[in-house]
Amino acid sequence: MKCNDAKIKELLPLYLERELDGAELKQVELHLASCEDCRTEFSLLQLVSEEPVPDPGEAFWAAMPDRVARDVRRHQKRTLGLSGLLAALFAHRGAWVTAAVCILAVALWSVQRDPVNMAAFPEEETAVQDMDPDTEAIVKEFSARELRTAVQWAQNESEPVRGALDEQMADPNQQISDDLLKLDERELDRFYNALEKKEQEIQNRIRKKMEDRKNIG
Amino acid sequence: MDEDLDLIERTATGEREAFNQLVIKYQKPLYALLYRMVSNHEDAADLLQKTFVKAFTGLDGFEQRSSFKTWLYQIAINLAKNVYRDRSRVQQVSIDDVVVKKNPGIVESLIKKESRLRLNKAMTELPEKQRLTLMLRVQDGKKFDEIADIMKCSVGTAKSNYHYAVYKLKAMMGDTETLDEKQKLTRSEAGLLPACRKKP
Repeated sequence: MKCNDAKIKELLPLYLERELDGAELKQVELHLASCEDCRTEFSLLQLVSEEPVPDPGEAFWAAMPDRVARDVRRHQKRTLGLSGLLAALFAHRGAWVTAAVCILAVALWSVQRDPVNMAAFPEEETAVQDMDPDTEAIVKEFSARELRTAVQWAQNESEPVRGALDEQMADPNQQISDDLLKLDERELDRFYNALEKKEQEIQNRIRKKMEDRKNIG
Repeated sequence: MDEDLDLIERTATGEREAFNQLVIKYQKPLYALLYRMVSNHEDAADLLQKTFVKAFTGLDGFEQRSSFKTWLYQIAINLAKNVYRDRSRVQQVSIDDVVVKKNPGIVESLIKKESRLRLNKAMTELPEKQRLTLMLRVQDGKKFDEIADIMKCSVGTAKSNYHYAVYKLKAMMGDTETLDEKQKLTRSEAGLLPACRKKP
């Protein structure tokens, strides 16, 4: 017969763990002597609690702190490398990079659009300063509204990173800033090369989409 | 908890000894929990390492709303959940294949093994939250307020999950007789005891 004594049922795990004493201990023992349902439940809890876990051995336990420390260091190096790139990016060539990020944002945003929507581009043109003529031609195909949307997206995405980097730069611990300076030349060049290559790929994809649209039209 | 906060602060300043102490303090209970969730050493060991790495690289995200131990358990459980879902905990062993001698020790261990296999199967059939709650309460000895913190639910919900898990396990394992009675029946079938009649 099912037992509905909620208090006893709550005490059973404590009884199992030998954490009861005094009146509660006596209460549970008396109850178990007369309640088959609770005896069943207690046997079940014993079985569950006794499920064995094999011991992997002392060598395993001894090695774990070093293994964790190694992985943590690896993770920190990766994070510092990325932060270093971004810090160098925003700290040194703001105007050029801001323009490049805007172009990339606009281009990426456009290639993700549904092709049908591209046919609805308004005729408005917009002028963007400090861009090369080819890029400017591409950007002019977008409406002012769409360009503003893409630029806003790029600014929003970069805002938290800039904030985090400002904090790092202001940190009295100079080690991070020194590391960033060392990353400056080599990593910055690598990043710009990657950015230029990506920009070229996206421009090619935009041109192809425009040509396909003309052919369909 | 104050001791943990002190160790965390010292770890954050780069003190390796404090870092080691935190790992050593929690590696065994975390490993036991993870092993019970994934049922094999390789996955449990891998998840244990990932749990610590995630915790130490994300210390900025530890807001001290709960204890560091609770936070570690949350990370471990979240990492283990996906692995657990892909694994079956049912082990198929035929007791008929084993030569049963009239030796109470062997029969006793076989009875226990059979019960354990049935229990493992029943545990896999429990809903995840109920199974986890039961494991944390009975195998890990966590109190309901700790379980509520780890599972991010109320204490009432933790208790409900626990009671419902026990209720379901009893139903799946067969609650018409006690486990002791089951064992007596099996022993009589093995020729070790006079035949017993089932209780009406």
